[in-house]
Amino acid sequence: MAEKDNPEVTIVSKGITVSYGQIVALDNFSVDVPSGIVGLLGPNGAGKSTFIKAILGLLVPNRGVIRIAGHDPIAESVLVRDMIGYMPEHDCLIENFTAIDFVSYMGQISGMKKRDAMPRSHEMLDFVGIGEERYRLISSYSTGMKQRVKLAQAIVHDPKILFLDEPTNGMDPQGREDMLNLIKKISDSDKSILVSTHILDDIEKVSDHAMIISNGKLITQGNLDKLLAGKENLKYVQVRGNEPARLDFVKLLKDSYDVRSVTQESGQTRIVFINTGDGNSIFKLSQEANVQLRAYSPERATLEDVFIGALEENGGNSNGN
Amino acid sequence: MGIDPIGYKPWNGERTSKLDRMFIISKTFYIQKLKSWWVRGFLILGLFFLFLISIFAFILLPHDMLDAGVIPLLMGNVFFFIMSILLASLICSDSIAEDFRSNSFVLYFSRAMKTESYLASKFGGTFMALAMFCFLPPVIIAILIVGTQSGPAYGASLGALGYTIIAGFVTTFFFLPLGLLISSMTTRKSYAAVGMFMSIFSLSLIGAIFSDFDSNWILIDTSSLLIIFYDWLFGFGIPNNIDAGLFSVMFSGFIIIPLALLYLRIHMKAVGK
Repeated sequence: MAEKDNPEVTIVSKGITVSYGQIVALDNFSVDVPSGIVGLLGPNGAGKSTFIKAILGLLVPNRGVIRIAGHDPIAESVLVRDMIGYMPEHDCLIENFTAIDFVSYMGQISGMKKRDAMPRSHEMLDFVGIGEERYRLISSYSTGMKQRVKLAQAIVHDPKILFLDEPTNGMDPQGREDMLNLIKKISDSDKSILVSTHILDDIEKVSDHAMIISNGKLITQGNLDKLLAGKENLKYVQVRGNEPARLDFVKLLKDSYDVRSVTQESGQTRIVFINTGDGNSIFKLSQEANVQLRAYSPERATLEDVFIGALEENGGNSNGN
Repeated sequence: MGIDPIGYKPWNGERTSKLDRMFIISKTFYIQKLKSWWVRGFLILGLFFLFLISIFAFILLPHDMLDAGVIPLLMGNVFFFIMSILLASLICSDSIAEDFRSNSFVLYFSRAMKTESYLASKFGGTFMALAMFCFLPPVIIAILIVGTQSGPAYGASLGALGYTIIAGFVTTFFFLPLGLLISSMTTRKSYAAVGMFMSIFSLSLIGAIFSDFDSNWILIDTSSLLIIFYDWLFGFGIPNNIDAGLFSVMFSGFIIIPLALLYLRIHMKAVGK
């Protein structure tokens, strides 16, 4: 298999179709998921969780091929699942267990001996920030604590590939920040992490790569820096000077370029425009208008811009967000 | 509660076998069940009224009256059946329903576990718990009878012990497929427990009503099925008014049909259908 020779690609999906009766959750879905932290983005009901379940072998696709590190998750489910850690979106904790018993139990059914599982569970609960509360029943936990325990059970057996489905779901801002830091720390130990979320900020903070899906189809994917750089050669220029001069500069720029926005910020003007050429003409225009050029640089889009743009291009919607 | 500065550390230990993992699930379920006050209560009640009193009664009997025939009498007792069904209902009720309710089902199947392994683990756990009443006490009594007998027929007594082990095993297993099937059809353990008890009770009632027309109707009653099985096992034969072929079909059907439906149900859930 080609995927086996390419360590950079951890998951390969070719033409996956999954349907629940009349509803097509994944429609001829093809994607190569590289290693590192990869964000899986999409509105609610886009097919993110279905994709994760399909790669886990938790549901059998109607059509198509999936390979995880070169292995078939259906035919080699036992082998594949030993390499995987999964943090589901919804509640999945056994509430009449204490956190330490639960994580240790999950470690043991993932193939750890009890003498290994117990200290490892303590280590993982320390890592996710569950202190003495680990000896309390899970039923008494807050949503944030449950999220942490869910993460601990997913990593207790040290999986190579981690699937995190809405990991910051229901967490307060500090909790979210903590969770994202934990994900970054885990990825430092050479793990592949697929994070499914509809919170775009989360992906922007932790991911190296993003995939956007809508209505069961892959809309766009790529390195996050490239995605955020935009496709349109969007640039911004910031100038300083007296007001008539700055207005002149804006007029000159509008005559020559497609100007997208003009904003005034404490005696400076910031203009976003499209420039497919080099920056020499911008310097000339600033001299002509007698303004001081303070900055000229590619305009970095937010992931939200990319996401909404991609959905609009594909006739999707972003209601879920 | 802050984030501990401890970083993520890899783990390179040795993985256990699939069988060990299944045993962990069974053992954990069994321990959880023994912590349940309802299960403890019924277990103590049943053990006291049935087995402890039986042991005292057997002590008073002359040794030559203690033979293999005592065991089917003991296990064919109405109280034994009622307690077995009550305990089976309680023990099986949350075995799968709780996994559905808490959604932990998905955690089992995101690990190296197939439908068969999951079901075998659940059968293991429920069997261990129910065996505390249906298997161990009859076997202990059989051992006591063999140990205290005064006659020379040790071979026959050992045979009776073997039959008791088989009878105990079958009795314990007999209720589990139906119990687990009903548990897999709901997320409420109370519904599962009541559902199982009422299913068996209704079948007994129907069997009793229609047996006036045809004695084979009794074969839809689980207690009658087990009594006929004990009689057959201990060498007393199948009653003349019962069709032996139909008995075999009903007896195996009561195990196989729920087992097949259960497998399908779990398999479909495991693959997200």
